Amino acid sequence: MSGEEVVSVDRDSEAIVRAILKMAEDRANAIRREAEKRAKEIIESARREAEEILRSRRERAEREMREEIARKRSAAEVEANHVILMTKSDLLREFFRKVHEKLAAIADGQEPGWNYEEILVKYSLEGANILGEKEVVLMGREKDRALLEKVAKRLGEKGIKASVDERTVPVIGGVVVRDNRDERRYYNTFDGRLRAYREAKEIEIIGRLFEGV
Amino acid sequence: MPRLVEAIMEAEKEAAKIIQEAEEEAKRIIEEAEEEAKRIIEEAKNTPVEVSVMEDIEKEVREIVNRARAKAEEFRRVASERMDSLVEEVVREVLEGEWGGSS
Repeated sequence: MSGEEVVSVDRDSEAIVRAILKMAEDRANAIRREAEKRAKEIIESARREAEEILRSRRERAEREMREEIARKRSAAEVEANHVILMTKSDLLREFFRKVHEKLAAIADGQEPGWNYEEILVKYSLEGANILGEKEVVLMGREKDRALLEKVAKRLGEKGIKASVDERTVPVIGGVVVRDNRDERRYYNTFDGRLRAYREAKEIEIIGRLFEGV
Repeated sequence: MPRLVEAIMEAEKEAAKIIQEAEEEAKRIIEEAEEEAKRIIEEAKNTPVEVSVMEDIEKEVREIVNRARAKAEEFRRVASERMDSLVEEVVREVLEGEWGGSS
C-alpha cells in the first residue's frame, strides 16, 4: 500500500466513525428529549390531580362547615324558643296560681269585695234549678259547714228544702248540690269553674298577658 | 482495511455506550418525575385546607339566645304589669260567668 492509499483509508474511517458517533448522539438526544417530555407530562398530570384533590377537600370542608353552622344556628333557635316558651309557661302558671289564691281568699272571707255566702246561695239555687229538685243536699268544705247551714236556711225561704251533707269535699270553695238519693249531683265548685274557664279561655289569657311584645 | 473495520467497531461500541447512558439518564428523569408527582399528590392530600366561611357563628348563636332572653324579660315585665288587674277580671269571670256546673 502506497502512502497515498494509507492517507485515503484514514480519512474514510474517520468520516465513518464521526457519522456513527453523530447518529448515536442524535439518538441519545432524542431519548433524553422524550424522557424530559414524559417527565413534564407526569408532573403536570400530578399537579392537576393535586388541584382536584385540594378543590375537593376545600369543597368538603366548606360543606361540613356550612352544615355545622346550620346545626349550631338551629340549636340556638331551639334554645331561644325554649327560653321564651318556659318564660311564658312560668308566667301563665304564676297567673293561675294567683287566681287560685284569690279564689281561696274569697272562700275564706278575706276579700272585702266578695260575699262568699251570697255566692254559695247563688250556686246552690243554680244547682237545685238545674237538677229540677225542690229538695236538695249541699256538700262543701269542712270549714263551710256552718255557712252551708245558713245557705240551706236561705234556700228554704225560697221554697227549696235543703240540708247539709255530713260528708265534705276537698275544694277551694263552692258547693256540690245533690238530690236526696244521691243519684244526681251538680258540681258548682270554684275548682270546677276555674278548670272549665281555663279550658275555654287559656289561649285568650295568654294573648292578653303577652300581646304587643 | 482491517484498520477501518477496527475503527468502525470501536465507533459502534462507543455509540452503544452513548445510547445506553442516554437511556439510563432517561430512566432516571422519569423516576424522578414520578417521585415528584407522588410528593405533589401527597402534599395535596395532607396540606391543611383553609375554609373561607366568613360567618361568625358563635357570635350569632350568642345573639340569638340573648335576643330570646331579652324578649323573655320583656314578657315578664309586660305580664307583671298586667297580671294583677287580669287576675281580678278572671276571678270575677270564673265566679260569675257560665263556667259552673257539671252534673
